[in-house]
Amino acid sequence: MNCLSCELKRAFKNRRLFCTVFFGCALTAVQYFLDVLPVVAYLNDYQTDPGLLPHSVFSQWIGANGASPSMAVYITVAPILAAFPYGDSFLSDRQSGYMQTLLLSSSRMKFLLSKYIAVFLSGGFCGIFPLVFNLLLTIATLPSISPVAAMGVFAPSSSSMFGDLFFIHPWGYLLLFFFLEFLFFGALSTVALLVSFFWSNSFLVTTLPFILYFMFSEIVALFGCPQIAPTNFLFPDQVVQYCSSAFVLSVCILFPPISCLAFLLMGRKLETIS
Amino acid sequence: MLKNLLRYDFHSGMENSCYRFFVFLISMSFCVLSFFLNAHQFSEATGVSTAPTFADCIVYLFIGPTSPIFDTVRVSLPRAWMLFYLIVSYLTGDYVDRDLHGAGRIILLVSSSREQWWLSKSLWCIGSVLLMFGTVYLIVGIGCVFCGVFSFSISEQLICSLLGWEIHLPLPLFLLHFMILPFLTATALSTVQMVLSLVVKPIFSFLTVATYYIFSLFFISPFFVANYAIPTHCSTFIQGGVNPFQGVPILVFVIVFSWISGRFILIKKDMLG
Repeated sequence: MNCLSCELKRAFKNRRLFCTVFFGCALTAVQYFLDVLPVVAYLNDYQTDPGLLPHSVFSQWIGANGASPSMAVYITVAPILAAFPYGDSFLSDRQSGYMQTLLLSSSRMKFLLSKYIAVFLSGGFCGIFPLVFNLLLTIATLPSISPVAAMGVFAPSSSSMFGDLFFIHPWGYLLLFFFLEFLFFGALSTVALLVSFFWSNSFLVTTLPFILYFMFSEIVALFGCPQIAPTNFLFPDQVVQYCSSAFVLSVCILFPPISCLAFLLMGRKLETIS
Repeated sequence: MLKNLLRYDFHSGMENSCYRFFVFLISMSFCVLSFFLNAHQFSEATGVSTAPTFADCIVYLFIGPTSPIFDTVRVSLPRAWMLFYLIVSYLTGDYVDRDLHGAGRIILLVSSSREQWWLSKSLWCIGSVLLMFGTVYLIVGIGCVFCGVFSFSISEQLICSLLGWEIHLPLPLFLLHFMILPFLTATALSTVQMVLSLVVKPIFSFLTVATYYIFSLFFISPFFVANYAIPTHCSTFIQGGVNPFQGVPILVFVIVFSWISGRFILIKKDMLG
């Protein structure tokens, strides 16, 4: 338990995490200033016509507004934001000798598990925090009027994946996507842990999750299967229709235990982790 | 001395980027393959037996966004374009920083000239970008040998069907839009990234340049110099686009300015600290 709390403290109380969160929040704040604040001027125009729907949180926040440059950047670089704060810590711990020192007072399995949990949680946190930040800013500015499918102005339609949930329980829909993104980006950042066994270059280790995510997404989209690209199924605006909810749920739920198992097995297989 | 430095940089830089170059090779091969598959599908669907040309594939890879970028739904970002430029940035990303913390520091001390050391790094960066463009042309050329024809003429029907744009350019303009400006832009932004990595961590310089590339897809302005690498944002193709002829001096200026800034930073930098 000591090992875990120590790892969590190192993961969440570091300058890199602060810088990453700052960069992510600045990026999503740009969307707030470009797309949310300008529509405040039109809010009162709707009071005279009950047939119209005012701009609401669910149509304007970054997750619903894929046409924004900030969202395009965020979708692309999110794995870097997830892996940068603590993804290469296993590598740096091995190189600095900190790990060997820690292993004198803690079991190897405990250390590996603590490391995995810390990287997973920090990755998941940095992956979704900027989106949550933008959502909170938007909530503070626009009314949270429930989306109406008939208006046709909302990014997911009723035929989209979890589309019914969006129109019945929009907050539930957003929470579900945050949860899935948390799991996915958390697990993706732990890919950096796996390659730390083979590589000694921190830049390569930290950027590998991004390269895998980006290359896979772009290549499957080029070959006409955009519905299995994480850049498409992972974000609430759902630019691609017909994403399979079973596929998305299984990817997001199975990815963390598989990466954890792989990391523990690789860590256990090594005679001496140095 | 510069010759020795260059030899070291090209050898060490290639060794450092070996895995990343492989990633680049795989990505670009898939992009080229997707073009030939799409061209084949077009031939089957329309019955028009148009053999795709070298120029067609280059247009497909480097054209950038083909639909209006501002819309109510998420835009379809140009995949091949982004893949190419982001991997170029990724490949040249951390070499200077890594070298400064490794053997490069000793080389710098031995060379006793920071200017020459920096010049060598800059020439390595230009050489790497050139190599990547050469690799893409080679992959496209090999694809043309097997599935098309090696020609610089654009098959208008095929391109119009695949990209929704009618493109008929004379050869000099084709070379400017699809070969010279993309190369200069990639070189300029890689040089800027190299300078940034002297100040911040390489991953942040990469993030900054990636953000800049993506923002350029949305804002048509000479301040976003990556617009010169997007033919569909140039005045040849759209009204109010950036002037491609101004692009060459602007991009050369960015390269020279980056080199001078990098030299200035490097001279002031405490290497042993």
